[in-house]
Amino acid sequence: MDLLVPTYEQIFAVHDLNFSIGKGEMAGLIGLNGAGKSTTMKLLTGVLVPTSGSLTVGGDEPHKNRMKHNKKMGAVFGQRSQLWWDVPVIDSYRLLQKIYGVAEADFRTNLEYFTAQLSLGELLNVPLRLLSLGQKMRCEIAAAFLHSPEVVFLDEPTIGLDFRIKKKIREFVLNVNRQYNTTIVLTTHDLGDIEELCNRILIIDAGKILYDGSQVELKKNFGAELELDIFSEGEQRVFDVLKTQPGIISILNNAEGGLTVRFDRDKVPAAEIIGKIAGTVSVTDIRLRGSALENIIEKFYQGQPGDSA
Amino acid sequence: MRYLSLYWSFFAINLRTLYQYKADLVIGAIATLLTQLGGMAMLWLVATQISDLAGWSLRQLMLLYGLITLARAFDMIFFDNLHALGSEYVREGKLDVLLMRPLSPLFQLATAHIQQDGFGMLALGIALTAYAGVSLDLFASFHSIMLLLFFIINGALLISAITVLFSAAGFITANSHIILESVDSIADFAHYPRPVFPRWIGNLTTWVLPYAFISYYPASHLSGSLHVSLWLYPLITLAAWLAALIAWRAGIRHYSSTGS
Amino acid sequence: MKYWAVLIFNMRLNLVYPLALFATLLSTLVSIFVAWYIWQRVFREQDLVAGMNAGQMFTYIVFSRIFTAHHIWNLVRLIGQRIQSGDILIDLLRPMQLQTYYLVGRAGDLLFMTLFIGTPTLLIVLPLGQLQIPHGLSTYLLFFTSLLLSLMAGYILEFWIASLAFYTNYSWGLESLYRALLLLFAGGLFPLQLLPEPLLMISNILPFKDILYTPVAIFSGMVPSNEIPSMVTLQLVKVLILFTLSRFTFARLLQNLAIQRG
Repeated sequence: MDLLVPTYEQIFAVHDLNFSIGKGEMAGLIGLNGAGKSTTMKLLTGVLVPTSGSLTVGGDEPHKNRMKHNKKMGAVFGQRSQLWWDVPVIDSYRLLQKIYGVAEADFRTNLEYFTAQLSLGELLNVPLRLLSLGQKMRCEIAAAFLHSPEVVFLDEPTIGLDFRIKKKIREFVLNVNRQYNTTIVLTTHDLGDIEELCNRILIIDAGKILYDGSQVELKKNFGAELELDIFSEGEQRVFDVLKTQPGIISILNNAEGGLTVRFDRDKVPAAEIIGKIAGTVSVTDIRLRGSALENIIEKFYQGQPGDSA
Repeated sequence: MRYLSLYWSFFAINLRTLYQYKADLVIGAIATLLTQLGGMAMLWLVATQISDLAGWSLRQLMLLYGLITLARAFDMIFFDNLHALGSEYVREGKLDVLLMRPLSPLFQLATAHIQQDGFGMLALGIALTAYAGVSLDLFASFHSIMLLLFFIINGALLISAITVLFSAAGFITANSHIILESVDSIADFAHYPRPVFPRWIGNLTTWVLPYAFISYYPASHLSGSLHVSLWLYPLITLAAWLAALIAWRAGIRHYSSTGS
Repeated sequence: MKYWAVLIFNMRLNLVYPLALFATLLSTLVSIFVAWYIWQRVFREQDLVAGMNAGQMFTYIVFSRIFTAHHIWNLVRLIGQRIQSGDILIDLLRPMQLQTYYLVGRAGDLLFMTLFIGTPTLLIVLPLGQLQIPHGLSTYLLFFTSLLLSLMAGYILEFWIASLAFYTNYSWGLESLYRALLLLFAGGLFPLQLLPEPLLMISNILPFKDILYTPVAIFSGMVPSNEIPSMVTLQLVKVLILFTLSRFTFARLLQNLAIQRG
């Protein structure tokens, strides 16, 4: 998709957006509030029309071939419901089947698959308004995929959900992508979602794309900070040994009673730290973790010119 | 046609929803019935004082009243959701969901909700038209029955066009309800014979908001007093729908270029 | 002093919805035009209708519509803003007797309606017919008494309906129903003398008449001066009954509302 600018009362909400997402890719769009994420999503889904430039999704321009485009895509907007409020979920699904013209066999296959994956069994015959948030979202997400769309846009799909449901939903999206090669474009403030799902990451700020590349690369370039959780008998001694070690960023007590050492792996490899400690104290457990995506992105923002955050 | 079968599905859902709120259905329906009945009651009281109103007998007045009531009932039942365009769909952004489906947003908006209160009005409209029709011998010949149906159907379509047209204001003001209510007030004039009112009101309901073509001219035609070319009716209705669809097109374009 | 402040504040609150004001003004005017042009036809052929002359009828039509608009406006505000949004709980916290607070607020609404609906309406309809005003000090006194009683009765009924709307969660239908009852049984559409006997008796028993018909009829000169005192006395009795009933129910209703809302 090549993409450009809509104007909003002379203020450019997004500007010079140029990117292309391939079929079957899972892309995550990251940005702070007001960065232009939702504008971008609205452009992609065809709700907003660009003032200049071209935008195609699967070969069609969303606002020119609206019906064709809408049939190929699915969307979940975390804060807006796509389903009908007062009737059982299955009735909503049946109506969607009619609207999107899904063949009965395909409908059944998909429904069975989604029901199994998202445990929709007891929910199908309940009116949407009686469901809890978690149950509602599971139904909404399944609804977006019912007509086997080529691309699905997810905007804050896990907002307000507990960790177990988040996990289920992430698994579901991953499986669908693997099985049907559905392109996924995800935008969310939950970086855990992005970390698990998106191999492709786009960072947007003030209406411009700052970064466009793979998650792996992002971690490589900005994820130099790693964390070691150390559980030992002599914490004071660990502290003494490491405090003068160059490349160590911080040594803090962690929630489980041990120490968490944050260090720059380009300056001192993990092995060296472990070596130093092992010789000094008796270690009961040790764990190495990559920095959370959050920290990596924060590093990225800090590296940007003009960043005041 | 796809839209027809879809329409039936939407309607079925609406009926099921209605069924869940039975008490509301009764209260609301009674309320609208009584409100409209009031106007007719006033006419009836007048009829006890004088023999005819501007040459219209009570039966003829009932026919006129019944015709506009039927049209308004149709509009209320099937297009009432358009009142919510401005506040719910534009301001709150619910319109986005509609725009993402492969289906006309206007169709989706209209079918999203049935206003059950309208059934009270429908009952009154049917009662008045049927009673007046029988007393005026309108059901005597096939020709006059067809004519009656023609006027009723045309009236329903015309009034809906007016509603759709003015609802488009919601795209810009984020409040369609107020303007629709205001336009609706003018329709009150069309419950009574045009000659009762001064010229300017008559012109208002004929050339600006053509409500007179729903009740006054049809009723005149059916009672034999005034004949306007029958082609004029569908022509006006068509023109109204054209204007409505153009307004909507422009409204959606406006919504899609400024976001919310 | 604080009462005055509340009154003015309520007035300002009303101005937040200028479009609603316009729509109300429009429908009031349309209603007046419709009724007057129709009745005018009757007065072309006869001088009196059920003992009323054209001037009295015209005055009645104008003021009954304005007053109806006032009632509906109030009810909608009460349902929409006070109860559904839970503002009523804030009201409970104010250092004033709740009922007094509401009465004063309502007076503010009345002032608002008089200025922004009543005045433009009167100016516009003036050329149409002859408005009549009462003669005599005693008539005026009785009129104002009746007006105050009608305000009180109106507010009591509105509160009951708004509470009902809250419980049943169906405000639109009840608003509609109330409007319909006002039009038919409170004299909102036509003077109640025109009703046939059985319906007239029903309207005498129901409280709706006292909300609207009585003061407007007195003002329009439709009631012979010797009958006015007994009319107002009857209104007083009925309003006292309403008031007593309200005392019993309000406390309970407010408690329930607080529980449900909190």
